[in-house]
Amino acid sequence: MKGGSGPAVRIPVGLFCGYRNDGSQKKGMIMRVTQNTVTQSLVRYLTAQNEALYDRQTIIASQKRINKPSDDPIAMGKVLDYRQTLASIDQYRTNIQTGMTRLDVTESTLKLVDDLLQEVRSVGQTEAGRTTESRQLAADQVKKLYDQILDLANATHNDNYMFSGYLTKTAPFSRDDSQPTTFDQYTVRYNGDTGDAEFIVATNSKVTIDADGQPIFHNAAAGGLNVFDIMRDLIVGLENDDSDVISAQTGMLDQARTQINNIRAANSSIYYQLEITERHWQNYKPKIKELMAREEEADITKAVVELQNIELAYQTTLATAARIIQPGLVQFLQ
Amino acid sequence: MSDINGIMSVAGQALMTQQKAINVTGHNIANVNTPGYSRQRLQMSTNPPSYSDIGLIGNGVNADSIERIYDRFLSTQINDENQGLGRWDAQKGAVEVLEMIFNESDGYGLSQAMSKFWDAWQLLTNNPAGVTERQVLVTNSQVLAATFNQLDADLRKSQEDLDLAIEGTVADINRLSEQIADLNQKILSAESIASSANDYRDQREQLLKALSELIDISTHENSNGAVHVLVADGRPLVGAGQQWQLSTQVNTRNLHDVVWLDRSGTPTNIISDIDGGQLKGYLEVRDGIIPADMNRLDTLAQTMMTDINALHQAGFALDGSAGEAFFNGLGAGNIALNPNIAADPDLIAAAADALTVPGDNRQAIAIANLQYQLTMNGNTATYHDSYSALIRDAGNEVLKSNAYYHHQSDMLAQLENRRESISGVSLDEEMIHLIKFQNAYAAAAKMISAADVMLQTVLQMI
Repeated sequence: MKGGSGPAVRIPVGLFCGYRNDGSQKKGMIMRVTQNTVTQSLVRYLTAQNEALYDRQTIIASQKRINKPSDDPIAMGKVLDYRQTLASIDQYRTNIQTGMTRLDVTESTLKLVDDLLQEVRSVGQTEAGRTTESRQLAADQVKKLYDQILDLANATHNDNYMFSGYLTKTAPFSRDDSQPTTFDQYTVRYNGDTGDAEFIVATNSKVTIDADGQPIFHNAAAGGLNVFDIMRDLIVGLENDDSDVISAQTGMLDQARTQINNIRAANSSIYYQLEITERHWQNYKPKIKELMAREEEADITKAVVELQNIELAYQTTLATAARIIQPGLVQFLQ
Repeated sequence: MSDINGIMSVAGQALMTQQKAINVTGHNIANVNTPGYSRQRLQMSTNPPSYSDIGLIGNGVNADSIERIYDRFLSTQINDENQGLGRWDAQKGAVEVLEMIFNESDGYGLSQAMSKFWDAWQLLTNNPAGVTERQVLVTNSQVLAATFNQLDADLRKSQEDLDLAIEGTVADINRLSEQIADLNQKILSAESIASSANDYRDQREQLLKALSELIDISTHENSNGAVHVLVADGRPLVGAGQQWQLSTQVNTRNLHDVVWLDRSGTPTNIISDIDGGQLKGYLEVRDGIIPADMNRLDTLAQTMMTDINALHQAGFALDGSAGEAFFNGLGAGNIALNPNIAADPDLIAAAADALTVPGDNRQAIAIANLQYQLTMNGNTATYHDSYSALIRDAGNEVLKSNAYYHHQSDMLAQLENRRESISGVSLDEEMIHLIKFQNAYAAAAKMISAADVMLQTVLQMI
């Protein structure tokens, strides 16, 4: 079909009309119509009708109005654009899902850290008014909790450390086990950098998720708190039976929890932003699909009606042909 | 001569003449389906009368000549339109092949390969150190390069096919012009004896029509009946009994130019003088449309290569080394993923700093964002825009050729119809003539027997 233009069947011009070369019609003169004139024009009619039938058949079979660029070059260009947009949307949604999963894992990790810190805090609180013996036991309990929190700070997602900035293959936090004193053993170093995790969520638009472990766990240098130092000091306080230190560090734990919960709050707003973007793409995709369908998909009803029209014309031409080709004067002589 | 012998003689000549007329009618009926045949008529006239005491007395009929019924202006017009038809027929066929090469309507092709390539870069940004993500990018980059290569190879192949068609057409032209020269000779010798070599003339017209479908020609007929054919800006192709040759010559692009050979065999390149016929259609696509398409494809491949390589070389691989060129090659024909990267996907430079590997995806993001940038057509279009424009133009070329083709074909059908109405054989008409001449023959025979009776009567008087 050419340019979506109706059911027009191409009719060879100038058949059966007595025009002279100069365009004037010969008055009262009959144009000679020979058998070949009739058969040749029949062949042309039937070819044109067959072509039109074939076009409709292709449209109906493929359910598509555009089966090759020349069917509608402009619409073909649009369809390619839409198709690319659709592919991009799918990729954006994959990116967003990846970001959301990462935030989910981060959130559940930090939630656990917060719970464990609360556990540490309640141990400290309980121990503030107890005996030396129980304090040594409590110190061991806090050490276990400490190790658990350190493990969580070194959590991985898809084989990548989540809190070591760009250095995703380097464990972000490590302590020196070779040193003999508790103080040294429970002092933690940060091995990562300040890199972020960035995700492409829309055309030329990124969402940044903090991957730096320092603001969460190890922020003393930037004026925040070092969670590990607080716990270390609590352990030392418990071991040394120093009630002042125990209660001071217990108080600090609340601030440490606030530091972590602030990060969680920031993450949840990023999560929300991702969710909104995802919802946008989810709503946008069917609209693009609809636009593409409008360009590309065939109006089947129209194609069928056209097919019927052409079919009728085709059959009529065949019937006419059968009637006018056969007889000639030859049949009537003898 | 109003004696009985005179009557016999008139009747005898009438018999002969009607018989000739039946012969001509038979020839017409026999050739009702012969292409290019023009119906013939026996021209009859009265014999010069004799003087008698009652004045001039008629001497019966004379068969003058066999005339061919045709319109000589019509065949020139038919040839003119046929040149256009041949051109657009050839061009239509050739651009439809190009359209097939660029057909993306089913969703496979360069457009798709580009989409997947950019998506693979985005996928890498999600996990810059990921083995799978890097492997996916390697695979999609190879597919993209291979799709470019394939398109370029397909275009080259269709260019070569057209080149072969051009060589074949030149051979056909030489064969036809030889036959026309031969017929010129036959017509000259036949018409030195008879009045009109009707059937030879029909054959010659048919050959001229076939020739005009291959190349644009201009013709004129000499007073002695030989037709002269000129091609390509007035160079002689056929004269009275002689012909000139066209030939082909390999040019710098390793394709064939069409040359005209003069009497001494010196070739002249006539490519730019050919203006119609299949040759024009083939040349137009081979030398115009295909090189333009290849150029646009090359520009697209080159720009992508340059832009991506620049960013990739500014980035850092997983081992902290500076990025290598991502793609190698000079254009669409030989663009390829750097074999080092194909062998070791860790060499993909996703990081913006040697110290920030493996988690840094900033360089990968920068490369992934290239797809949205206006890098093509003097910074007015994205890569994708530029390729859709190429497809759109391929579609438009087909539409244009189709429109011209159908127009020419309608024009020609109209002229052919007109020719048929003048020169075509109508069986009904011939049957009527047959009966008419048959009756006249029978009547003339009756006259002979009447004259015979008269003669017998006279003889019995003795």
